[in-house]
Amino acid sequence: MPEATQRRTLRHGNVPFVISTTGATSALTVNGNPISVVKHDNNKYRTGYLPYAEFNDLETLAHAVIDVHPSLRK
Amino acid sequence: MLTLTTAQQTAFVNALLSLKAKGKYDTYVTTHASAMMHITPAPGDPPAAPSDPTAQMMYRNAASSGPAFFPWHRELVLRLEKDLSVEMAEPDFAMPYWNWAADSALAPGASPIWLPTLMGGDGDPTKSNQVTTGPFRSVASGGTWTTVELDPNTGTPLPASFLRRTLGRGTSLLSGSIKTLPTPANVTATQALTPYDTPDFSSSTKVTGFRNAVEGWNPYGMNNLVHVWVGGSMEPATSPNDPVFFLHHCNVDRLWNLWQTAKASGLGKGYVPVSGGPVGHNLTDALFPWNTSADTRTPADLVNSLTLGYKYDTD
Repeated sequence: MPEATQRRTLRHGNVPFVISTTGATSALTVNGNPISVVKHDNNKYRTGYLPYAEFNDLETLAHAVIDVHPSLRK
Repeated sequence: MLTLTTAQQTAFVNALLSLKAKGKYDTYVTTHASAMMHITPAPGDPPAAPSDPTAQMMYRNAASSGPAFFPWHRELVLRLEKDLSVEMAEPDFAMPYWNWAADSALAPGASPIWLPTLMGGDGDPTKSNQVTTGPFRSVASGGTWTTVELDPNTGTPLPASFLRRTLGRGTSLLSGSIKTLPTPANVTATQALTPYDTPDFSSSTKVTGFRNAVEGWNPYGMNNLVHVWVGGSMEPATSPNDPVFFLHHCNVDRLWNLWQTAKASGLGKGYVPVSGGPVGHNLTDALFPWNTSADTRTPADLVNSLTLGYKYDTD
């Protein structure tokens, strides 16, 4: 039986983003753009959008991505 | 940087602006971004998730998250130094460094490096954090500096924008446990680490040694922390958009020399892996994108600053 996917639709600065979780795998979409996210061996999240940072949770990561990449707001 | 004379500081800033006007500066931005997106996988690496183009990039790439971090950035700094030297008609020009640990106890923006005559100040939070002061201020603020913007997934060019900074106040910084620039104690702690690097030569927090600590993955801090502390344009793979990138990496390069002298029995010593590591990171592997017959650089070419013709005042 396939695992259920949970989706949370949130906003940051009026920019919508969606966190999808299926089992241990999570995915992030910001304003319709898929954002690659990796969970590293210290259980922190990293993304190529912010290659010098790591985050405890995907919601904060999404906020930082939106703040640093204004092109995602359009 | 702060020990330069006023005339030297002005000449340095003007040379950066001149390289920018000629389009040459932007090649440093795209070279860095393309190397960060160039993956250097090795057997045993965690498999990248399907349709996840940056998963392996974040584990190890041609410019960072691996042993080549120090020599790769040394080469980039030296190339800019050479271009600036020509621009200034100053054959003896040497890239200045920003000793950020010395500024770690200051309030954000209080260091003289952020004066309008040098790097300019913090971004304006009411204007999308654009830099509105100094030589690299936005066009809207009467300046000329623009930034190269690339899609982080594909590298596709996006419309140019303006330099952004969030000194000590960005979301990436404030979400972490450390809020200040790396401290002198952090520098001392990393200088005590040996060896230079350990398998699997990546950004894994299981990788111990000098390189992964100064890069800032184990423990988190140092180089990574400087990028997120400056914030804005220093946070994506296009981080050389902010000229402070080069002052920062010159300081990182200085720390490599200090470590070689203290822990590796002299300049040019201590680099690993000699062989058997990830392709592009072994001592005699060509570094991407300097891996063509006409333009080849290896870590072996770069490990000893003396053979490259320079040393630091702290060596």
